[in-house]
Amino acid sequence: MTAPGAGRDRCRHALGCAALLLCGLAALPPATAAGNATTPTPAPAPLHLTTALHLVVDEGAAPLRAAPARQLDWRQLPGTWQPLALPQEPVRPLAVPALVAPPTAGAAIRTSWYRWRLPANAAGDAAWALYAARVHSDGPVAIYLDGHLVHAAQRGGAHWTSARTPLWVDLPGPAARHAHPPGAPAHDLLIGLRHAAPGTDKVPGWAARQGAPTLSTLHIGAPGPLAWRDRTRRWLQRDLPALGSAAFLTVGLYSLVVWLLRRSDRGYLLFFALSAATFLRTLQVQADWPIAPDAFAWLTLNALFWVLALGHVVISGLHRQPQRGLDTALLALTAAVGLLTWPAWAPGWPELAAAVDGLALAMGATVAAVGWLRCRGRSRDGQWVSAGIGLCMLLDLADRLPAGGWLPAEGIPLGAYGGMVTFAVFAHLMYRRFAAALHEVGETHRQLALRLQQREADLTDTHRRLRAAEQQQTRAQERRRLMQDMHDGLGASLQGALQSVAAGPVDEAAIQQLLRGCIDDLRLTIDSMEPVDADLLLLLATLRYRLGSRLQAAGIRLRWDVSDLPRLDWLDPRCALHILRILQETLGNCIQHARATEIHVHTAFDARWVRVQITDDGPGFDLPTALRSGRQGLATQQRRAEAIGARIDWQPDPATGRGCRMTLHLPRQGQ
Amino acid sequence: MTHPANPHASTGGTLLRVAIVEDDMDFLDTLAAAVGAEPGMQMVGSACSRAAGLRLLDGPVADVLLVDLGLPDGSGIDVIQAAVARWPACGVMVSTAFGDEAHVIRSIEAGASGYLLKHAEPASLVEEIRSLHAGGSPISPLIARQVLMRLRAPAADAPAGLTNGPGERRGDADAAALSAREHEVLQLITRGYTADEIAAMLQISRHTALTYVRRIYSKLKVNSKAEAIFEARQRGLLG
Repeated sequence: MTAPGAGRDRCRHALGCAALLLCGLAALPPATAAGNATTPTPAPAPLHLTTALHLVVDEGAAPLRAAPARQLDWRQLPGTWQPLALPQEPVRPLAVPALVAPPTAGAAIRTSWYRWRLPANAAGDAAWALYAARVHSDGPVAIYLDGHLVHAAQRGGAHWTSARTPLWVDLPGPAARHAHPPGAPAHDLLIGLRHAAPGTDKVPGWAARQGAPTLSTLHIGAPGPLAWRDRTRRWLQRDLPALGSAAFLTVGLYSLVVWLLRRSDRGYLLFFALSAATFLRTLQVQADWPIAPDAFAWLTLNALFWVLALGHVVISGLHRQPQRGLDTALLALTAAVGLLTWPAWAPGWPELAAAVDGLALAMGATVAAVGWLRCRGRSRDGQWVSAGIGLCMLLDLADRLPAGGWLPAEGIPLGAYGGMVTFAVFAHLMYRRFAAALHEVGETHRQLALRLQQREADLTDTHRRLRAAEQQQTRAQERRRLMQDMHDGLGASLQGALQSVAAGPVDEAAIQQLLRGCIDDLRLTIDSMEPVDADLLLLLATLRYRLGSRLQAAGIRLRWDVSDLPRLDWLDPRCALHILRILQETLGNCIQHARATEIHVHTAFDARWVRVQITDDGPGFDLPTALRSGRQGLATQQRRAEAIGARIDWQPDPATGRGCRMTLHLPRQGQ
Repeated sequence: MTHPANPHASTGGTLLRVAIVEDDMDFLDTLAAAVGAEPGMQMVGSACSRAAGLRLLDGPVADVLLVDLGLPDGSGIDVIQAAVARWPACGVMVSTAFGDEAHVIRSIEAGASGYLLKHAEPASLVEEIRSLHAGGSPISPLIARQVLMRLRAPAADAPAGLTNGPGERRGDADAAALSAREHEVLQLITRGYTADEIAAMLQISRHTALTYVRRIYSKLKVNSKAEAIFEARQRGLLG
């Protein structure tokens, strides 16, 4: 708002000028550029106004919320101006804005006026700005420059955020200022704060001073150098606490979702409730609407009790000590406050609010102190929570202490940081739980790895033993096989040779024959150990290679009539030796007993069996008799065949009805 | 049993000279007796140890040398290798009790052309020596099987006739591959057929069938040398 027609004589006053410009003037450049609009001058350092001329005007029973006049000359105000040191801060209106609710009807209304005389060149050619850390009053705030209204606020009464929002006014620029008469050396700045007369609400104690307006020191100058003050204070007084509680609520909502998925853990629900209550309590730092005894006032007042009650529940859960009396008392108190402060049936709201707010401090102190004592030696987490609540109470208390004590004047209100303290404490708790859970998981992993290692070692050991046992079994089997073969093969041959020699004089050729038979046995044993790679024909070929010369020597023709055969995968050395022995025995019988002239070796196979047939053209024999006598080793052959899952049979040659045909049926698949 | 004339073999009045390195004195006596009794054969030297066997090679050349592998002062393999180098025209036989493939294959790779089963009848001993001198080589089914596994089979599309001749496939790469006919002969041996039966089936003489075996043995020797060279290259012993 500009003040184009502010043309009065403003040069006559000199009163208070020395006091007015206490610190700023000495640093000001000489006033040579006054009135010179064409030459730009560098902006001087901003003025810091730490004193003012003060005048309180009684308005009688006028309404508190009156619109300020558009123009006002300070000389028309009745009364004597008195110097006043700033800041004027009778009580900090920060912790309990509810207390500054509108005064009851009929209360005496006053306007506190503050006045300064500013040098004409205070801001050079730049536009001016006015900054004050705190301006607060029940009613409207009006600012006049050279008699013209340049700023009006709070027409509907104080807002929840009023006490937290610094004052920032862009004053009219050089062009407008020069509109006032040339040569005018100075400007008049006037601030009026309308409010109820202190003490009229009959609130006892320190709150009796409620109602008196608050005004901090003022800074005036170019907007550039001042802007950071405004921004920083806004940030610290409003935005940062609001952000903190919003972050708390976000984590709380996450916690709520976790609780919905895991109902068993009530801790998550408690955490959410705490974050929600804290958020409601902190809402007032951003609530940009007039203070009134409404539901929001009720909410913001009661939220503190809820936070404390929830804090108590958390602490109780941590130390696990029974304290029914205290629990009941705190819950009853919280419930009672909730009921009694409901605006609809609480006509004496401001008084009640003030009393109840004091109660909250007491309750917080109790919860913190009892919690700390109970948790000592029982729960480190509980002590943290107790200490956090205690710190919150101290911060709240700090805002209620009168200014000018051991707290810095115009300091940042700390009560709103209680939410962030709570957040930090619970974040710390969460971290500790998380770290503990991680540690537990790590420990579990370690244990599991250890057990796994143990099992692996056991398994390896078992495997090793199994292999050793298997090897031992294999060796035992091999030994048994060789022993059996020594007994049935070479042993039997040597035994036979010995008996022949012992029975009487034997000629040299016969002995040679006997011994060659023994060596043949031995050769077959050795041959059986060579891998034949599942090839039965190779086995038959080997047999022929070893024994062919004996047949030849005996004058027997051999008809070798074999065809390709399927692989017999079960053909290991044990089976190979059994087959060799069976066939050797058969050929031996042909030579020794059958008086044959020709032997026919034939192979065939079908889906299940591979057959080897050895047919001689001798006279043949009676099978039952031969089996009974055991002379021709038929029983041994049968036993060997059974040992490898084969069958053996003898019958006369079907073509001639004479001779003998041995058929060995070998299964294509092993047993 | 007749043997076709061999261009390198002695004919008519020329004696077949036999030498032996053997520590089994009974077998040595048996063999000396058998050779001495055989017309056209003559023992020209004998030794009972590896050292004496190596010294024997400085003496008069023999047509057939019999070597025992298990000598008291070392392996007969050394004697076989030395004999192949010193007496290239001499046929080396290893004498063995069982003709088991482990001994025989090792000897053949060292340069032997055949083996002699010690406990054969004296007549067949002389017969085997004569057969070897005539260019034939004995083979058992199990040894044939080993050779088939060690030497590459002929290319499937190579006509048998083209790979038949002994002068073919001189290239290093193909030196150790079997010809189709050689492969066929080995296959028949593993099925138990005798040299006579194989000769009848393939319509060749028994002697030709036996000379296939000799050629196969020499390929086995080349193959083992090639393997040794390959291995030496792999190990960086040769450039």
